[in-house]
Amino acid sequence: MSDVVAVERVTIPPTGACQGCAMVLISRHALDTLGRNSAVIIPASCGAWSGAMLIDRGPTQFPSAAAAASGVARGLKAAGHKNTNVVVIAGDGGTYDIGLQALSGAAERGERIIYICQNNQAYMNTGIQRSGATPRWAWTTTTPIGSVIQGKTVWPKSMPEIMEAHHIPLVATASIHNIPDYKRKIKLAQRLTTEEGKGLSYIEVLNTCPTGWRYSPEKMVAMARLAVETGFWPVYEVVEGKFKLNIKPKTLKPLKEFLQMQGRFRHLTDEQIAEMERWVHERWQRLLERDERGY
Amino acid sequence: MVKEKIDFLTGNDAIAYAVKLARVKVIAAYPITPQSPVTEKISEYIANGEMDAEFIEIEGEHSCLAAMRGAGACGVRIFTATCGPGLMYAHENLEMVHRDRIPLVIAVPNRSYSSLFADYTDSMCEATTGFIQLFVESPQEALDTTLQAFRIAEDHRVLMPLMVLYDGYVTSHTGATVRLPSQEDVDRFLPPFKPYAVRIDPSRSEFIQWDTPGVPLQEMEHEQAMTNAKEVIKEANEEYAEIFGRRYGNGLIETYRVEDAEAALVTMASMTGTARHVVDILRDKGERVGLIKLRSFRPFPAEDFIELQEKYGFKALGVCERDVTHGCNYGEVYGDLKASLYDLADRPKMINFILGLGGSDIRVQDLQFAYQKVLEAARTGKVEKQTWFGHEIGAVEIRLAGF
Ligand SMILES: Cc1ncc(C[n+]2csc(CCOP(=O)(O)OP(=O)(O)O)c2C)c(N)n1
Ligand code: SF4
Repeated sequence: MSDVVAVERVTIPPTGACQGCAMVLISRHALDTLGRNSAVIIPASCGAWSGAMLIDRGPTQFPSAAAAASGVARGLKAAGHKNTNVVVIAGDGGTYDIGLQALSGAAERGERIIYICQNNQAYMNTGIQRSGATPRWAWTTTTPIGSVIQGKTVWPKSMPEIMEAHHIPLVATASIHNIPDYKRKIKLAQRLTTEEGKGLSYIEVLNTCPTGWRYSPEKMVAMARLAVETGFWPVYEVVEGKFKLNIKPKTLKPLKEFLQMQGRFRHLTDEQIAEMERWVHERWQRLLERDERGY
Repeated sequence: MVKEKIDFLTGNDAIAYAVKLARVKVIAAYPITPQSPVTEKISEYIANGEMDAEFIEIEGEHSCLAAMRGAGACGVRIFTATCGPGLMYAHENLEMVHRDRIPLVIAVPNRSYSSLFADYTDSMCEATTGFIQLFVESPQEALDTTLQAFRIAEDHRVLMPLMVLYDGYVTSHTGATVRLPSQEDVDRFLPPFKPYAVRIDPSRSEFIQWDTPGVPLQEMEHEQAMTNAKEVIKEANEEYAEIFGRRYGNGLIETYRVEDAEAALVTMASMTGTARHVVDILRDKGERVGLIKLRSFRPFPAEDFIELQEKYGFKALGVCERDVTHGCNYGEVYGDLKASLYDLADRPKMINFILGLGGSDIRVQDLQFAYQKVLEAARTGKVEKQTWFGHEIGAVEIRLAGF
């Protein structure tokens, strides 16, 4: 991990994000690690507020971040720029839902794009509406706590697994409580995607969002740590087909601890918490088995 | 002397050849009928090493325009083609390409939404997106206009994206003899692309935000660019004529036998050839009729129409178009032309002919009928109503198509 050194800051404070927003760390550490020779594409999302940058930054329409990045990557190649990192920082809505088609296309074409999904588990920028990444039973403004229906009724999809099915060089998850691990993955993406041209790299980071999750901003890092320690957010990587669970607590903490810290889960019954924990543990078991096998 | 080859090409192939001659650097495209042959041909050029370009085999038109916007931001010459539902699906990013002043050239073999055949339902939906729209008549004009298109769109007085519009199947798939200019002559006419501002340039270290200035100011600048485009289209047409000897009117409109005409039709794209033939027939019979071909729909050449009207004092004009604005019972061109001439003291009577919708044929007798109607209006000073072809005389069968 000592090989990760941010040579120069390319992001400049302040930002327009809410206090305690993990997205600021996600974009800052990614871009400062990648350095000046980069261009970043941010679709409509909270990411638009991530702050000023000393590198070229293109906004793009909500559904087409990966497509705009494809154009930038090819345009830079045609203009004779070699080894420029083309980075997308998109939200979960712009990745799991409306942007999935463009991302899938770019992945299949093997575009030289480092795609970072900052997953705050809802459409935060437009007011906390549900997305394909919103956990089951979570409160959002479009999955309210009503007298008949309470919260989201279905499980979220697993975007990293969808990306794995594209046979790309790197699929990884990360957490902002372990920045060295995240930066190492960014460096890996730079090597595999930008330098070796092996295709698109996909890194998804849990973006703890005090505003949308309903918790107090100073708990940002604690929240991210607990998400990992309870198995709610497993941190792993699939590098050219090789699987590795990067953070492996001996025993998982009770999920209840994590859920009870947030307003969006306040209404959950004990049965619901137990079922969600079963869901989390089954996934964890599968990941342990994969880690054992190495693929 | 220019060096030229003569070949028998469809409109689509003529455009693909022009794209090769223009040394385009990045192309993205998604298949749709009747556009597909353009990009198939370009893929062949690239696969055979005849063309050095990046081809993005993109997964849809919305993405396609986003990719073109991204590549355009890197300051290289770019091209795409689509039509019909594809053009409509791309709408959000078409709008962005214009807002970023990216000089994209896009070939559009017009097709209706609900059939595979020619009408202007698709591009008329984009009449307000800030694209220059040039309608062309033949494969030759398609090739020549595509070469001019890069000059016009990339001109620093303009910097607006441009659509080359031609009738689906009628022009896109019908072969005609086409004069093919040599690479060296084209290089003289169309030098390498000099971007006005490269938005994405990693060798630069200044702080650049893509943020746009205040909206009203920005919109006024776009309008100025479109006004400038009128001059630039004329210049490109003239300089092209100087080198290659082919000229399309003044670039914006082209007239045929309008001198002493009491009535004239305004036509677009492929129907113009039929209309010229009808003018000759009627002139032989002693009728004082003429023809105005509209080449540039955006920017709309209001000044040129006013000048013609002041010069020739037409008693009546008929506008023939393959589109209609539902709820108004007239087409886009008719509305724009009527508005343009409204302030003249000596303004003509005007009739709108809606014809050729969904690719239905535009026949000699249809245009003869239209001329008869405008001549009547010129003589009586009376206009009954808009005329929809396919009701009065055209053969229209209403079928439910399952495309
Ligand atoms: C085509 C389109 N539909 C809807 C919107 C409105 N919109 C802007 S941002 C956004 C939500 C973004 O959510 P997400 O991608 O999860 O990022 P977050 O804001 O949560 O970081 C939406 C729905 C839009 N800009 N474009
Ligand atoms: S709403 Fe959430 S994700 Fe968006 S800026 Fe605020 S804290 Fe960050």
